[in-house]
Amino acid sequence: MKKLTYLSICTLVIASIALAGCATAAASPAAKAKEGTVTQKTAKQRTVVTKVPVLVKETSFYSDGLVDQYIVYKLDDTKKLLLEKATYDTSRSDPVERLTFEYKDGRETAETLYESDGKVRSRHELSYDAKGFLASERVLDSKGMIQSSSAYAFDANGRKTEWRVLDASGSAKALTSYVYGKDGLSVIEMRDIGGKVTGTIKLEYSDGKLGKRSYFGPDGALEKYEAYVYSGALLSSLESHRADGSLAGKTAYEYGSSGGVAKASEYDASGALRASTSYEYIVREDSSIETYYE
Amino acid sequence: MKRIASIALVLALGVVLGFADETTEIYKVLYQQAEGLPQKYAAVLNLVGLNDKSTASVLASALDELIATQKSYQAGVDQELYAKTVRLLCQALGDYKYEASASSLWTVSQDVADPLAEAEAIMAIGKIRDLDYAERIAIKLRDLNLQPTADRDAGEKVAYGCIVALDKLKDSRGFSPVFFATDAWYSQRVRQQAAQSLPNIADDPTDAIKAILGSESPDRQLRALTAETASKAKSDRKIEAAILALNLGHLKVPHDKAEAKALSDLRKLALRSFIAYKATGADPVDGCSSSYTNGLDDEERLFALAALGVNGSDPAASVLRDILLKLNEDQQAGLTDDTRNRMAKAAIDAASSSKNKLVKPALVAISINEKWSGGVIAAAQVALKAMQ
Repeated sequence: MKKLTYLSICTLVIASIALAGCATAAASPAAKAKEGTVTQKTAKQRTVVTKVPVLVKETSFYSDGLVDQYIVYKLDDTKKLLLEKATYDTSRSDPVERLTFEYKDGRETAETLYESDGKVRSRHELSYDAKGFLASERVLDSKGMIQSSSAYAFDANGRKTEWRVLDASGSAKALTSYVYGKDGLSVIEMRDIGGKVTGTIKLEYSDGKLGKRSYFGPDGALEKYEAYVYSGALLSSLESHRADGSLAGKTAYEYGSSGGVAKASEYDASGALRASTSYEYIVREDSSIETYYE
Repeated sequence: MKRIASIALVLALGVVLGFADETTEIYKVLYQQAEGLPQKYAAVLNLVGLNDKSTASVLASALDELIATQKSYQAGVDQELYAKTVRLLCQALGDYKYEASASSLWTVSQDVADPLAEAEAIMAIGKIRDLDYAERIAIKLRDLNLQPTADRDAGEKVAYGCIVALDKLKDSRGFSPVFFATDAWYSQRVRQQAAQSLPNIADDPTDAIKAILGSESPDRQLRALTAETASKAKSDRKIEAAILALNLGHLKVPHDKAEAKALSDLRKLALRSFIAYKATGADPVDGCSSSYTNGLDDEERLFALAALGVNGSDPAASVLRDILLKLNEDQQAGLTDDTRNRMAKAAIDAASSSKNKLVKPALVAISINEKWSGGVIAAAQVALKAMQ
């Protein structure tokens, strides 16, 4: 299921920083040794402060620049956990809907969606296995009745390998399997419970970055694809194409000084602006100790 | 040492911005395979929870199918679930601004006997901003405004939806019904929403406001002119409405003190508009003159003098001149009191503001009439000097 939206951002950002730090610390002496340097190096430590953009507000605009709605993100004191996502319509004073998040041991355990009148619309509950991987998820309606659920399986590397969707009675309805290549996720295959393929998504990478995502129907015919266009390390646009290669639409991204996406603009096939969204961030400073050699 | 973390943002983008993925594809298929209303509802709940615009066409098809099969869901439990499913679909289609669904949404508003679903469908049309439906929604609200519905709560919900939709549509046809919703039979919440939405509906609501001025009670006329002054209409349009309001404010004979007060308040607001927007020319002059002569209180008369001064045209200056000469004549005849002195000073200030030489003889007459106080004479002399 498409969940953990906000938490995923934080997790991904933190993970990348950690990786970058390790690479810097380890590569330096190794590279010097290769060059035959014999000078004795001393390991030292220093504090690294990493600035992490944290999304706090997004505003949606019509193509004529008129504001449609905005979303306010409420975070905990550490600015790491999202507590609430409130959506406001510019025509109304109260939030049109509110999504609240619950956590246990630092992991999200539930999301509850409230209507504008404060009544619960739906609730998602998440549970984890002993290794900390998302094991299952269930969707409940406003009366607390289970509507559907999902079960996940992971490989030894913690990569999702299977997603099983079950209906309210617990009967399996669909099975999705995930196949990984050298660059990452490469094929997603979707099947109904009879084992019949209902669709396939293939992912292609270029220079380690996702470049294309193609959607195939049950008969294996290409239905559509998305092309990822980068400017350096950053995604500059996402193009949606029909099976015949013609452009169906495009979303272009602009980045702000914090490093986060500042604006996303949606265009139709003719290149006319359809809508745009702006993103506002606060910057969180994460401190960590880094070892280096001198 | 500081660094900006942006590497992972590329990876995170898919999550932030809701790229289509397998979850969307799976729930699309599950909806298409769903049998019976509970399964359809569960699939819709998951589909709309994805916040994925690419699901819009599937959601629109689902809505069409539910509209077509409405008669199959007549049992109480079915009706409730049916309405909940329709509401979810309408809200999502509005959020995704799926233009192709507008006619289906309108059908929901006409055919689905659930006020929340009806309101949600109307609000979704508003979000889509399909102006083809502006008039129909305006008429629906107009009809609701007239009298409480048999089920008041149901009528309020639909009225609320209409107001929010008209706010989004920003079409001047929506102004009048939302204006009347501000003091219709609804609860405070709905009336407040109407008051909040009213300024957003049309940048220039002058035509609608002139129609209200021409046919409504003094209280409503005053509220209409207040809305005009608060609008984004150009100054000349605001003046146009103010001229009409002032003239109508003089024409109407009040039935009681309260109405006389309301009419005077209307005229004062019109006069203040002339001052604020610097109304010039002959059109506002008769109304100003009447307010000076027949105004309910001194405040109205003082506003009239100031408006004549700001006007500065020959007709306005002629009226000011005559007022000054009459005041001077009365003073000469021994008619004197604080009010006349205050009016004289205000008329001299207005004459000075007019910068029109037509007022000069009257100012000269006052400046040489020793029956005036020193303050009035000095004011007239200063005004004369300023005009040279």
